[in-house]
Amino acid sequence: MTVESTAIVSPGLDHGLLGHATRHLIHCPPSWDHHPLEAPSGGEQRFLLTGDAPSTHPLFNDGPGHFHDPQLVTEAVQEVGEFIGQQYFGVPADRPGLFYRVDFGVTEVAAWRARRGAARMTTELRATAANTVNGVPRGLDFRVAVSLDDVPCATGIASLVFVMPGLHRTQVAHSRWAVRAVPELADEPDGPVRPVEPGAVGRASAANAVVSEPSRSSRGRLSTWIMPSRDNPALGATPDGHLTGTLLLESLRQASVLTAGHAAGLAPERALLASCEVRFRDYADAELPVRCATVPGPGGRDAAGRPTVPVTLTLTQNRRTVAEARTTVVQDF
Amino acid sequence: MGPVRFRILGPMEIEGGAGPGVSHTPKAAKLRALLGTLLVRANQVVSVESLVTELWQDEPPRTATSTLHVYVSQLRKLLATVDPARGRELLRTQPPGYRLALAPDLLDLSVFEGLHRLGREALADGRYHDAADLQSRAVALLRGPLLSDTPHGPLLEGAAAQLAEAGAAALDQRIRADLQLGRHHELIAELRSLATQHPLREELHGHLMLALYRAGRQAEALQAFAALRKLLVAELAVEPGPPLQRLHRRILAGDPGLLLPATGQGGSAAARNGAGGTASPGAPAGAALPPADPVFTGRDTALARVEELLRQAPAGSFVAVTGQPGVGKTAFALEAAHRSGPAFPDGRLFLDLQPEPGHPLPATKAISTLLRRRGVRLAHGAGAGELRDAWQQQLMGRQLLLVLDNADSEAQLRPLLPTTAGSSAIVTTRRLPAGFGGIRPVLLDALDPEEARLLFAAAAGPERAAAEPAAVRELLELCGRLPLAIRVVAAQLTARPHWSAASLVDRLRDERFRLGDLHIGELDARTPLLRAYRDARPELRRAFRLLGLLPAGPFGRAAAGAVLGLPPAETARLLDGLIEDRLLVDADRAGHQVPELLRVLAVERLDEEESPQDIGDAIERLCEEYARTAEQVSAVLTGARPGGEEPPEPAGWFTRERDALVGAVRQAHRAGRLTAAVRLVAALDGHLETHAAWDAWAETHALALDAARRCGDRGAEVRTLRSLGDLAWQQRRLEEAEEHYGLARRIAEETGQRAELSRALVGLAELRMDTGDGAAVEALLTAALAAAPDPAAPRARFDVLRALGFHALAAGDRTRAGTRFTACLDLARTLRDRRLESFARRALRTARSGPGHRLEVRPGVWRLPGPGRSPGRPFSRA
Repeated sequence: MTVESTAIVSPGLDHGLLGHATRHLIHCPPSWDHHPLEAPSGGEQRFLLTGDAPSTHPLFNDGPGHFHDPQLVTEAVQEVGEFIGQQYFGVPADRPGLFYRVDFGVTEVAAWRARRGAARMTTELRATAANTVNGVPRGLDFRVAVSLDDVPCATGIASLVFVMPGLHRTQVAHSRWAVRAVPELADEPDGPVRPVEPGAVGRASAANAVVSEPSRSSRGRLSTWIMPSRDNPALGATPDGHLTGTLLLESLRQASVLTAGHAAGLAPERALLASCEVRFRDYADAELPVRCATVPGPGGRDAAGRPTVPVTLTLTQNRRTVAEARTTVVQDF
Repeated sequence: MGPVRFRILGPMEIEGGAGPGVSHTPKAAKLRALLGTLLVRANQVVSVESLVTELWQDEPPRTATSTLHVYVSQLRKLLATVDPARGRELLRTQPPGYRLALAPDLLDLSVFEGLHRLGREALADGRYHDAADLQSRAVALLRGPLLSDTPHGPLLEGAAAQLAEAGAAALDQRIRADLQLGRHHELIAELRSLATQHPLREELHGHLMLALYRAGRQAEALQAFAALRKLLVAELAVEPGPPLQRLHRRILAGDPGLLLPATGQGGSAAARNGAGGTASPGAPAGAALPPADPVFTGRDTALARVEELLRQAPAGSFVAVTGQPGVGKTAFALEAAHRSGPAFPDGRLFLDLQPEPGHPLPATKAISTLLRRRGVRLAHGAGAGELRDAWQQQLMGRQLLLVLDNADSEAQLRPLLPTTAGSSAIVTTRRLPAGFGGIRPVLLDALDPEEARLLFAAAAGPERAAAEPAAVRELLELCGRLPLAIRVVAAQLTARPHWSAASLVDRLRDERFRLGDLHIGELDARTPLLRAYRDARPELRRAFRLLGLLPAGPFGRAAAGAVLGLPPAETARLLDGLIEDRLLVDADRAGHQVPELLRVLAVERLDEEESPQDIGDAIERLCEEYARTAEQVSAVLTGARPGGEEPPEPAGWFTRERDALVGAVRQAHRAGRLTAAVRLVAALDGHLETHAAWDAWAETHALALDAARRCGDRGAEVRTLRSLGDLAWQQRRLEEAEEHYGLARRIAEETGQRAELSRALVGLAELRMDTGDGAAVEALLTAALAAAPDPAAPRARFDVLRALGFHALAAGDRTRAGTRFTACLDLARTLRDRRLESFARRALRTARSGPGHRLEVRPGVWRLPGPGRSPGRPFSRA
């Protein structure tokens, strides 16, 4: 499965040289010997991505506005991961970088509360080459540390694999064939599905509600369907027919909030994804429905006494696992 | 009428002249608490503040002090009733509080402490009968927990915990003495009962295992271990501590060293035997060797080495255990001696060669003591020669192991050492005696982190170690992982159960008070460190103090030479001297290092003994050395290739030295050496920018700005302001950047500093790029170009052309951008700066291919559009 993330490239001269809302990505070389990009490094490389956290983003700022969206972390890594591989680790430009593991954990909930005025967000990324063949890494591992207005508030790891173009095409074709090859495993909604009320998943715009109204099974388990947006390509399909990564991560977030609300009564407008561990197992074909099954764990409290609910999620397409995730939803007033 | 007696080892009892039948114990709880507190601190002044805290804790009434006076007055009346003759004089007012003056024998606590101390000394001396008797009498005084009928504030609570520990120690030592006296059969029942009462006290289980083993009940000894292990795993999820595990292994192996010799008598018995210069036939193996430290942990490799050295020791050789003060040389030597027991069937002897600090035992006295312990009695007035002969005769043909602790000099040691095969010695000494051919040195370093944790867990209990693992880790680092200091903090936490490891960490973080705080009872971390310092020669003491100016961690010889103000050869000589005196350690390739607590001592001594002028001069030399190296490293890394010696591993230099560099700037600023601070910060500028070391950048430049202003250096002020502007720009603090660049521009215009004016204008232009104000960018860059005429200021001109190139690119004029980047490339070559050169090449490529949505606008700094405005990548399986 291949899924594209938010991908809006502005036309004309808006290439980051002029205008607001720019950020800096700073490379801090451990050795100046590797500073010339012509001599890629095999060791750990440190980067800082800094700038204002968005305040008018159509997805991340949609909702009651109590928090900055921790998905900004995964978005940031997603955004620069491939670039870092190509610029600083000598990965050929024709190898797309695909994330297969994303973990993050909020370490200071209070720092994520949105306040008046812009918040400065700094993400430190430490990148290490993985599985190097002939001096070219097949993947990169990132250790991430985030601070908002200089307060350290989240850490994470992410792993990226660079796939050779031919292999990538073969994988995509095989995945598409495999998901259709066994019709008896077909899994689709029994009837028409309706999106959830956006307020139930912490959003305000109906265009951003990307999971269906859930059906309940035993012990608080929920089952929902992912509903790609027709209006927002970031929450839809990529040109090669896969669901975008942003859609998958947002659907995991929404399903988590929904489950925590059903299981423990956590208020969606005050719910924050405090941790998220995702493993992507396959591509998500945009033409087939994706089911999201969730299981809430026993509710607890974090160190500051806030209610928390762990949720285990599985995304499947024709009973084939697309992604598995464990999240923790925290309620903060 | 007899004197008044006080008993507090249980419920409070006051016995007056009327005899034991009449109780004078106050009924009012507060009065009992007051009297109890004064008794616990008998003959010491207890401040009014402490008493108020003790009586009311955190919520004293408004009238606390006057109420206390009333209680004191009531107490005086009570004492007068109990002892009309002298009662009123017992409680004296003495600022800042009160003192209860009491002869030691009138208070059971003092009697207990005296008996316990004498018992401990007797045990250490091998007088087991005495030890068993004294500790038995001490234990008999304990009627229950301290002042069990009295409310406890923090002081009494601490004292109660301390007494509980002392009581346990007295009992433990009585049992040890009994075991040495061969009373294992009688002990088994008592030990079983004690082990049931105190199921988590591992040492009691250890004694029980040993007693059972010696009684021939090996299987039961192993069962006792298994039962304890099961309990510890179930209750605490921990294994028994290293001492017990070692005992278990030795029982499994049937180690004969665990058994007492047939005589079953202690050293005192041996000492009473024998006459006329011959040894007692019954002189026991193991006599006069103090017990191994029950919480000794780790050092397995070093112990194995000592065992091997002793096993293979040729005649005349001995093991010398050395290491920094407090590293645990004595405990190590004793552990090694106990382990080597089977190899020395004729006995093991221990002698402290410096029982009083600063007063080494003369060799003749040491020999007399050793002979006496072997049961040899010489005629009164025997000469040194006779003593030596008698001692060597005693060693001849025997297999004896000597443990000679705190050896001072070669002259003291030489007559004591065995010269014939069979016998050997373990000598502990801080300074290795160089004149011996047979010396086999074993150097002890601070414990590694895991060993330190195990020692802490053994001394403070596994629950403490498990409860706050992160705080304990930091605590152990603050102790420099030095066994003595670890024992101190473990004892403090045991004696004060209301303290947490985290609260102790808070206290010890402040270096000014750390050594003073590492003290409890007889355990004191500062004393041995200070002794080692005072034993050193004056020139080494001065060097040691000045090294306190260097930050924690390893340092190079150049930095040391700078603070000492000496040429390399002289510096090397002093550093070697400090290493020999164990005040410094060799940190391999990283250089040298003053161990953590010694470094704290060096800082303390520096402030006490050096003049501010000398300290300032040393700081200034250090700053100059760092600045010189920073420039040299910078030149090497950019390819300018300076003359002179290349610094080692230049690429990692800044990361390695960053804390030291910031520390040096801080010290120079604090000492008022403003020029030195400014000079060093200027040299660090490029390193800070390249590494995006934001915190260090902000701190050093804030100090440099203040320094530049205070010493009226306008050039430095402009340069620092511009650099602070660069920092804020890099961090995207745009308002701050505007302010710093604006101020730099104004001062540069006033003072005619054209190059810095140009760079400030470029900074302002780049800020205008953010607001999309192309006309303002144009105007600022034109002014910047005019201020940086070629070739007077090539670096400033490079920046202007770089910014002009990107400005052209923004306007879509790639040809003009290419021309400007080509000019940048030429300037970078002129500057011989390969970092700028490679950047210019990349910019040129961008101009040719057209800009993407990410642009490297300064070396290593890329501008990206806001979040969600650049293409991401898909997710996939691995």
